[in-house]
Amino acid sequence: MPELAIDRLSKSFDGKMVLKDVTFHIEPDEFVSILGPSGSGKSTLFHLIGGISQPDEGEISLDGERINGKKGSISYMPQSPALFPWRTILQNVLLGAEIAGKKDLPAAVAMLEKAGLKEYESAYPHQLSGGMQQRAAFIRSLLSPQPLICLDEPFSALDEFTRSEMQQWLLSIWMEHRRSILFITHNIEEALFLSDRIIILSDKPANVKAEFDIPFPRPRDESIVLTEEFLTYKKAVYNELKADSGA
Amino acid sequence: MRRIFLKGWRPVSVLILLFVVWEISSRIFDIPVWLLPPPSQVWVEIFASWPNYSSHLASTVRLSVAGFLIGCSTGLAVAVCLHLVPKLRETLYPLMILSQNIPIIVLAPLLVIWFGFGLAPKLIIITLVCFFPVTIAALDGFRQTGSDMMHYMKMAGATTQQIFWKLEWPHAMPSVFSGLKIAATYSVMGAVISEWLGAKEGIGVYMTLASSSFRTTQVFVAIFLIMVLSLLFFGAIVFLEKRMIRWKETGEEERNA
Ligand SMILES: Nc1ncnc2c1ncn2[C@@H]1O[C@H](COP(=O)(O)OP(=O)(O)OP(=O)(O)O)[C@@H](O)[C@H]1O
Ligand SMILES: [Mg+2]
Repeated sequence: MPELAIDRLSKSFDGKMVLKDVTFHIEPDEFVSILGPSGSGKSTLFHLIGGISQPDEGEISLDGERINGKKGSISYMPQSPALFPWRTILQNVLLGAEIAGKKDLPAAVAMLEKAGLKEYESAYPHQLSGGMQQRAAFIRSLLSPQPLICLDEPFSALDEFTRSEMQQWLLSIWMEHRRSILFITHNIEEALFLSDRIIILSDKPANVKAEFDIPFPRPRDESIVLTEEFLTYKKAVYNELKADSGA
Repeated sequence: MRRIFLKGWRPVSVLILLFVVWEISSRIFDIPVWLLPPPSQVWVEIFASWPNYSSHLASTVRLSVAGFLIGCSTGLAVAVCLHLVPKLRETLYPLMILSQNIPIIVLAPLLVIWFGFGLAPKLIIITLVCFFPVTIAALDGFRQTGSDMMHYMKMAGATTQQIFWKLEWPHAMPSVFSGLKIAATYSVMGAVISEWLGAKEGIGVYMTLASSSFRTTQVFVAIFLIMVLSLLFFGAIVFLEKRMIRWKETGEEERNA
């Protein structure tokens, strides 16, 4: 049974259709990326899955249970780290678990240590660099009890170096603590490097246009982005995306 | 300490200059003391009449602290209620602004008619001047939480209560403290005004007695006391703020220095 199943989801704002019959699914422990042009409705899709807005039509189910409009069923990481400035890093990463009423202090401490944030445990977010803040935000989602993590362009605000560092870090952490991940990005390379599967959304209204299975073996090394196979995939995805905006 | 000195030398030197000009001109022009006493004489009077005003001072301090505490708790409570019940907010917010347009000088005698000369009308006056800045500041703080943080809380399934205590309340703290600072200085003014209405003790009483008998020097002593009290109250709130809000970026301060 798939972890998350989205079935013919539609959503309009003020008569303007943003999502139209979006259908896809995520298997347990699968890493799926969603690629789509800016403004195509990716964040809207997350808001629907997260239950803070209701779809006009369609079904969202998690582990076979319908979660339309039900909050608290996924773990979410917004585009900005959105760490709470008055909480220390340790208190911040515990927030998701705290809301669900399942705080596990030793696990949080261990996780921070693994992420190289041990010495920042009692620091406040503004004392951390952008990359470190993103790491803390991701650990916060990992420590939340929900089985599916949704990340909305988590690395788009980072510079190129930090970004590729963060991608590798994310993969290494994820290999150890497997979860289902739904990852939104603008960046084709990022999607190829990270995902098991890529879903491409069309523009206005958004619809699933194509799906690519990405077969690179794990653990993945940075060097694969230079291989012939990677470039072939990149071209194929690029063409698929471009065909849309050209139309 | 050094920072205080670096930041403070400008206003302090202006004050000193003012006193010097005042002192010199009151000597040159031979201004009578009952009209405008020179600062040196006020300074002497401050020490000389300490036994006369110490009990007045204590009474004003008690009154303003009590009024401040009541006013600020009322202000916070009102803000929380209005924030959590949007309908209430829509209804009462305009009325609250109207309440600030009633001149205290007009309201005060009415309060005496209704509540007598006791403590009640005085506390009501101080509460009236204190609660408003706190309520407005807190309401703004509650509302202006970042949308990303709010999305996070909602997605995580946080209840209204959790959103309030974990996000809105801490987020409003810096803004609440700005309100508290304003309220702190207002509370002293409010206390003095309420004492004018009729009280046995207090700086307000001391001031009225002094001015009605043309002891102008003592009026200036009273003004000095009011200013020092306001500054002390303000300083106490700033101190509390520094203790309680450690998470704020310090970058801004460094840039200003
Ligand atoms: N609450 C709303 N009310 C009205 N229109 C909305 C609302 N939320 C989103 N939209 C519209 O829906 C469309 C998709 O928005 P969305 O934020 O989902 O795009 P996106 O794919 O996440 O874009 P980006 O990649 O830039 O983040 C936009 O045209 C936007 O104007
Ligand atoms: Mg978006």
